[in-house]
Amino acid sequence: MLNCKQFTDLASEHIDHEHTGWKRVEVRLHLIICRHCRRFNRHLDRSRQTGATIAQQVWRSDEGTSDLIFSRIIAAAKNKNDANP
Amino acid sequence: MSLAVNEQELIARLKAGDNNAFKHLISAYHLKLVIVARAIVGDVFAEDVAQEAWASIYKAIGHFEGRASLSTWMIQIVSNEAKSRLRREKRHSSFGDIDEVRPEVAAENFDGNGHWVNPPAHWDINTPELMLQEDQLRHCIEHTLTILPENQKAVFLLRDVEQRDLDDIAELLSLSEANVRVILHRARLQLMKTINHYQETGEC
Ligand SMILES: [Zn+2]
Repeated sequence: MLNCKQFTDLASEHIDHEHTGWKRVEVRLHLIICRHCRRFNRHLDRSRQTGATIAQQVWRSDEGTSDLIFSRIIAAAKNKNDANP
Repeated sequence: MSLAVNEQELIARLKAGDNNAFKHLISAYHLKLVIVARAIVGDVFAEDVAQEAWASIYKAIGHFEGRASLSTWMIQIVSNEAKSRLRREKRHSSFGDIDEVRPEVAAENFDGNGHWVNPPAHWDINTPELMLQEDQLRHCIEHTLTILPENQKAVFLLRDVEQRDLDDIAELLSLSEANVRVILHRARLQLMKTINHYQETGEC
């Protein structure tokens, strides 16, 4: 039988539906009998979702950065064209 | 994904040579490309690699066929650029490697039989929607995202934000799939720890 400690190591794989066969049965059985691990699993899943939403919002650049990167692309393309007309 | 809603329209504008659309793409994706590059080639070359990737994207966007999504295509380009930079610099990537294998949740939370002695506590702020409304918690999570190790940041980005398969992520970052799993689990646990702490104390 799977214990709680082992479940916590497998929780991300469970969330990602990575388990097959007997491993999947073991994990599901454990979740049926163990409310602590059900809560752990729920918290981990919600942490992942909340973290991903915030990452999507903050892992962006401002207008100044995109202008700068764009101007470098144009400058590099122009240099290349000047070298090989 | 913010691009998905109007992705077809954006692609049409990009292909027509609309520079503002391209700048919009850079705003949305530059930091993500840098995160992927850093996990492969390290901090020193990452910005440079991302800049090279943007040049390639700009040059190739007219031929983009849309077999994959735009983000999938761009991430593949930055991964290729980073790997080729790694070869040119004759460096060996160790950025994604895992230092040690250890139990992921601290052993003192369990008894000798592996049962909880400190089970997870109830969360008052229980759903992502409620958590996102809580400014201080949002700030704590932003901070945690910032200080995650680079490999965790990249794997979390690719899996939980970009929703890529684990085997693709392993390929993109030159890691084993087993390592990707462990790194992803660590990133999620770190976020959970931050949220746990906030639920208990109201602080980061
Ligand atoms: Zn349990």
